[in-house]
Amino acid sequence: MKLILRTLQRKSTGDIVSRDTEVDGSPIRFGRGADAEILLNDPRALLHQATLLERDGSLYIEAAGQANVKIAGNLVSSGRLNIGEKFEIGPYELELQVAPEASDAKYIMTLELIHPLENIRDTLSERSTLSVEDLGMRAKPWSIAIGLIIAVLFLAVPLVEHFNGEAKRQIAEIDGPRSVKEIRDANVEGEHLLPVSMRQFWQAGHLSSSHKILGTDCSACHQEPFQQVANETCVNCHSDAHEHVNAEEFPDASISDTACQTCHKEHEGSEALVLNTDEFCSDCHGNIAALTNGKSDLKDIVSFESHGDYYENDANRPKSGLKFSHKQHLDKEGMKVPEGALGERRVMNCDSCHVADVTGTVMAKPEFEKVCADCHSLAFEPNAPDRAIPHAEVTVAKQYIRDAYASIALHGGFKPRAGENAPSVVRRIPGTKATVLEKKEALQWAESKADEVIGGHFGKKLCGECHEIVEDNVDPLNWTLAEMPQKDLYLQKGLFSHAPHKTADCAECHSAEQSEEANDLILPSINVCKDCHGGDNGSLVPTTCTSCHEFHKENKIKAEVKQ
Amino acid sequence: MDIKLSESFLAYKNYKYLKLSSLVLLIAFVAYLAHDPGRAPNGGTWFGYTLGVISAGIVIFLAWFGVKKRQFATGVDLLKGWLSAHVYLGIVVIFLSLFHSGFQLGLNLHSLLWTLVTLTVVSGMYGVFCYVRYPSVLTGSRQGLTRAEILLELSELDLQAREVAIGLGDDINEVLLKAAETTQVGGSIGKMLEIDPANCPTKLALAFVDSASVTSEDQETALRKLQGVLTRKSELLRRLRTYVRAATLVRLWLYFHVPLSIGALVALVAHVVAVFFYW
Repeated sequence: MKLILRTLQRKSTGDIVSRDTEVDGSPIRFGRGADAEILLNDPRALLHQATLLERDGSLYIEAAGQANVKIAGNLVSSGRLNIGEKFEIGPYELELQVAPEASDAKYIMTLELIHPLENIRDTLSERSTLSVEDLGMRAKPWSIAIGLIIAVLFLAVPLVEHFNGEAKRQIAEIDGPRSVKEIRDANVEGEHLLPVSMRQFWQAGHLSSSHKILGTDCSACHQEPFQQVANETCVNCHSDAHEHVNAEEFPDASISDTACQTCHKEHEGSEALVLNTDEFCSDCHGNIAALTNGKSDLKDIVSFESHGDYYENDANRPKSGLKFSHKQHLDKEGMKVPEGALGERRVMNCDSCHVADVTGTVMAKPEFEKVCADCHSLAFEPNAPDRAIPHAEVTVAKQYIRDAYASIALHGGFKPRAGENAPSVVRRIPGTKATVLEKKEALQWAESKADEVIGGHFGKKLCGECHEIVEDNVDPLNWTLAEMPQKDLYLQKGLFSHAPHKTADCAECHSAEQSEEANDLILPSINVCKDCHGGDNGSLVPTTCTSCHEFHKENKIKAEVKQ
Repeated sequence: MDIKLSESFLAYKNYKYLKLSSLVLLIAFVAYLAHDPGRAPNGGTWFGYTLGVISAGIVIFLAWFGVKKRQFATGVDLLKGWLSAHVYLGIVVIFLSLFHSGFQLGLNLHSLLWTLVTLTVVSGMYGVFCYVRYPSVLTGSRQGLTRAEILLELSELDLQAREVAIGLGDDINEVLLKAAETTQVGGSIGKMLEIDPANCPTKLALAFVDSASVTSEDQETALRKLQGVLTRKSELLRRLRTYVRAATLVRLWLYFHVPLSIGALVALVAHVVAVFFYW
């Protein structure tokens, strides 16, 4: 079979150049291989791609192996070729035509590479990215995105939350400030635009524990933008802030014109709401005499270490008004029990008499009936052993003695002891009748007997066993008892609680076993405190002014807090 | 960036800005230790406010460098000074802001600001490392060739391979075709950082050719030639990829540095507003 192979080449100008070669063979093979009659010089073609056969006057094409040819748009493994019909082998397009009669070949086969290989360099450049910019990456959109996210989440949303919350607060407070409970309830409802309050991320530090209940309702305190929290806002709840001093006497030291925030720093963690440094006080108290032009009688002080001993001056020590000494009662051998068995002794400790109150802050005043009466009987008349002088005011006690003898005298049955006189009416069989005159005589006896007892062994002397007696020079019966301390707290200006000192033995501070002075209340000197407590920078228990002293003293007038 | 610039900005004017920054840091540190606010140190004391203002000023100065370096009017020497100060003050501001806050960090806007500033500075420190480390790689890897020249040679090698292989087996041609059509340098950030990707079609083609067997002497010769061509192509690809990796690293950190710094600037504004809005 002979045919003319017409290879077409399309120029970039659109012109077509053709080149004819004669091909002879039976069959005629298409392929990349050197043995192919029609060479397909393209790496995409197979060594042997297809075979052209002539059968019964028609031409057939058969693809080799697994390869295909495309006839009339269909991929087939073989097929008949019609004149003028185009078909494809690999990237080539072919067409069968009848050769002119002058030629000795029967057909003309046109061959054109219609799918040329792409320009390798251009496609490599297109596929490759040699710099970050080639990827189309730009920092600007990322910058705008991150900036916008932060601006919205941490600026816009909290601001909207503020104005929403503030509007709601103003409505809620038309009739006056809200209570803490109302703030808390409003807080539960929330003002959030997002699942969480974004205003909470404005907090640089945690709220103090007492204000934690206000939660994320920042408007509870922060009401005017760009202004510090107003004192009025604090006073809405804290209405009882007291002056530190008598403001009329020391106007300079009044807190009326001071912002609460100056000393109360919020958002600094759970316990830090009150400023607690020595400097805070020593700013004034370090030089208090000069600052007040001598008006204040306080001594200058800068720290706990330099704190003077108030009890150094004996006049400042409270007096007990009692006669007995602690040493006497704390006898290690114990004390004799008056009505106990022979030789019975009772060993006493501090807590035999002194017990702390419920809060553990102060020691309750020992009560006579509870701690003394066991040994110290107030019976005064052998004829009436069940009667005892009430441990009460002296006048009440004296009246009781008079009433007791009047009753005994009118009742009769009194048995005088040796050397004792009593009229017959007083000695008569109890219950028998007495005349008016006899009754008068009985009451006279009762009065003189009461005088004798009140001024004698079972009266003045009985009380005088423990109490200091104050005599009356005019009327010897008008004796009274020395005054006793009435206050529960001996330290009036400083707060002391026994509770945190429980771990110490009483004797570590109170030298009771050495105390022989009847009047000694054995209140420890501040030097005893200094054994454990030091200033705020030492190695001892840090102790600043406010550890013991209150600033807003309740015994001073209430502050008229202004903004 | 000019190579000379990258080498010498750290030592600009005999480490002028390193000395200045160290001095600022030292003074701030000593003052921080000496300052006793009587409570936990925080940004709300006078010392805290002072350091806050200084730190904010430094952050704005650092950000201003981004504007400065885009201005054509800025001379190289001046820019070098700015960069030197930019680098050292960036490190200083991390610590100044910690002194400002009294080392208090938490889950809030203010710590977010510190975190963004710190991440910006850390990315910047990586950038400094890149500027010192990679310029030599950038020039060395290309061995005097431009990127265009390397690409051109790679394409020529593909054509050579095609010619040499035309008489070889269909399978070899298929592999070669794939290597020529799908080999790429870069393509994504991950690939740009790879010097020797395991699935590089050229590398696979070379391995295939190495293990191919042929029957005739002509084919044997062609196969040897083909091996040579592919080996050269692999080598060139490796060089180009080494270059691309270095070029990518030198640029990539900026894609973190710049957005983080914008984030930090916005957070700084939010921080100042938040603090004084709720004074």
